[in-house]
Amino acid sequence: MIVFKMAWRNIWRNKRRTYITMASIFFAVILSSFMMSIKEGMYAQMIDSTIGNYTGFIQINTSAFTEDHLLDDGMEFTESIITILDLESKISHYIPRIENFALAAGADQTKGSMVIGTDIEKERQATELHKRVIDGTYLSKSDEGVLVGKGLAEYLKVKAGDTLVLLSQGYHGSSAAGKFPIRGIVTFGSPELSKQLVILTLENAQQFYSCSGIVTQINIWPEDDKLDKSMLSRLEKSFDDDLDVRTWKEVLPEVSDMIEADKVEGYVFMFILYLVISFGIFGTLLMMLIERMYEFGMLISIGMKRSKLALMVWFEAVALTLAGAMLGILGAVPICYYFNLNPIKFGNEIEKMFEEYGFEAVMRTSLDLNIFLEQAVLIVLVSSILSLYPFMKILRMNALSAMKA
Amino acid sequence: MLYRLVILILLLQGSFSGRSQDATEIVKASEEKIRGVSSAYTEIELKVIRPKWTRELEMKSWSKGDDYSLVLITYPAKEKGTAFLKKKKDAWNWVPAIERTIKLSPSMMMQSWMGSDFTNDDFVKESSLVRDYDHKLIGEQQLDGKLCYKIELIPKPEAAVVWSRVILYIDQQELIQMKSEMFDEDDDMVKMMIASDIQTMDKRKIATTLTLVPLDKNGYKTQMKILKIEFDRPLQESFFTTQNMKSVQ
Repeated sequence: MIVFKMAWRNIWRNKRRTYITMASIFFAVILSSFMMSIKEGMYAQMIDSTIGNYTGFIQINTSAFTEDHLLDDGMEFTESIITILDLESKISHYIPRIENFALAAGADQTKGSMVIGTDIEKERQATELHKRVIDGTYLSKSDEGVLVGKGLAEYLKVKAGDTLVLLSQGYHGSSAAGKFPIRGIVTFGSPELSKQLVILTLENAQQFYSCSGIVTQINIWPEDDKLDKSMLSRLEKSFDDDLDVRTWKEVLPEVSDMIEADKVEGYVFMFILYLVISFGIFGTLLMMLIERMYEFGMLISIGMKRSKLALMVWFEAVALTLAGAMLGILGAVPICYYFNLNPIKFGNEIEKMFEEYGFEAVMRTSLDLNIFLEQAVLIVLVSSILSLYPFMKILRMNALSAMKA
Repeated sequence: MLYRLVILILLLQGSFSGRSQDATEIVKASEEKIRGVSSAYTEIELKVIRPKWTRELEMKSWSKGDDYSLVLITYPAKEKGTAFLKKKKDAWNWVPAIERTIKLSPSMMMQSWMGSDFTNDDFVKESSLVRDYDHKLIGEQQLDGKLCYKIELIPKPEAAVVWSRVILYIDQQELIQMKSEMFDEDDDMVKMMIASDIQTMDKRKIATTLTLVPLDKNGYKTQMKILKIEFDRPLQESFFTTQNMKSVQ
């Protein structure tokens, strides 16, 4: 017990030394938390702007469709499928969709586009598509009109109220051509989607492609956006072998690959950051050790056990680190909170690069509490390990030479 | 013995290679046989066969020489009224559902025609078997008990043709194109067209069924059946206009 008491008193004996050590931990935690928060925030945004707002976290389609994305490999949206999906409690939303390509034309311009035939009522709940309408109105239940992505509408020079011409290949070799009144213009976080989406009701799309009863995929939003393993295997078991149940990581490997690659890059960067932080902490510990050489030598010479002394110094260091880390969390949260509310906007150049990848060009921090705890724990761990150096040093200390130093 | 054989081979070779002019004549005659000297009107049933489904189309087609042709889809109802027009080097597609005429660009020529194994080029016949190829008689072969000329067609350098060569088998008696084989730039056979059901129509013996088989896709084929054909009825060039394409019945 005496060891704790002495450690506590030592901490308050030289306040300046205490503050300096704590400050080095404090800034280390803030820095690494902020870095991680930005990274995680970016991933969350990437996932949100494509998966959450559009593709869903799970997709069901035929295995042939997985291969080559042809409408001809569509699936029948049967009552039995609906029953299975309705009975699965961990699914919060599911949307049957037709996804296919078509040439879209306005008065003069023509552009390749992605046609989405979807259940617009379900879309309202799962993706809040109706909130994306920036001009005109959302589709009604048996609407024969279309919604056009903002980027596509700008290219084709069309607005709500105009007519859009779609030309494509239909189901089983039929041809698909039609004129559709434009009800509204929609905008997406992902500029890539805005540039190519044409949305119509599922029935209208089935009519257009001559494929009544057929959908290309069913997109699923699980509860809390969590990919529950038991639910996935339940779904896989419930459907025939020719239907694939795929998570967004399989559906959009480019997004998950990008995140994985970026994470590895992040690890390298974080490693360097930790290295810098470690040397900072190590420096203060070393200073403390040298500063108190005489004191330690004296304590040993009046009969204090080296092991007790070493433990005391280690406790001091750990206590300081813990306090610093906690203050660090308290400091990092408001900073990250600020940048979550006011995301960092990029300049034109980087914005273009982001658009090419299909993401909104803003950097929004994540407020996931785990990030801060994780970083604090990591820093505490690092400094506890570093404090082993003075610990060892004291164990081998020679009282006389220590006092002379 | 040996030199007799050599002479025989030389003679045979001489007799074939010396007849490149003849080969052109044979191809020309066979083309006229099916397309008429001046014009032809055809009613066709087209069956697109895929491993999992088949689809039927019906159409009417008017043609005048190599330069003019008009194809009108009459079945199914959804595609009825869709028309294709070819006029010299240009081709258009009228789509009534969107009330638009689409000019077929050269890059669209190799795309599938109405979802079949035929390409747009096959239908609008931008390239001509007679005009765009050099012809060479390379032998004779029995096909379905008929003796056929085997003629190799090499595209002329300036011709807009995607094949590296085409082998035509033409029935010697009736001058009917019994089979053609299309080769790509690697000299692999990629498509084969087989004629069958030889019947007399409008006083001519013609093959009434043509089957196109793409060799790179298993189970894919397109069958074209001639229901009615009329040769060399008077047909004005003014018939082949983008205006008429929209209203022709």
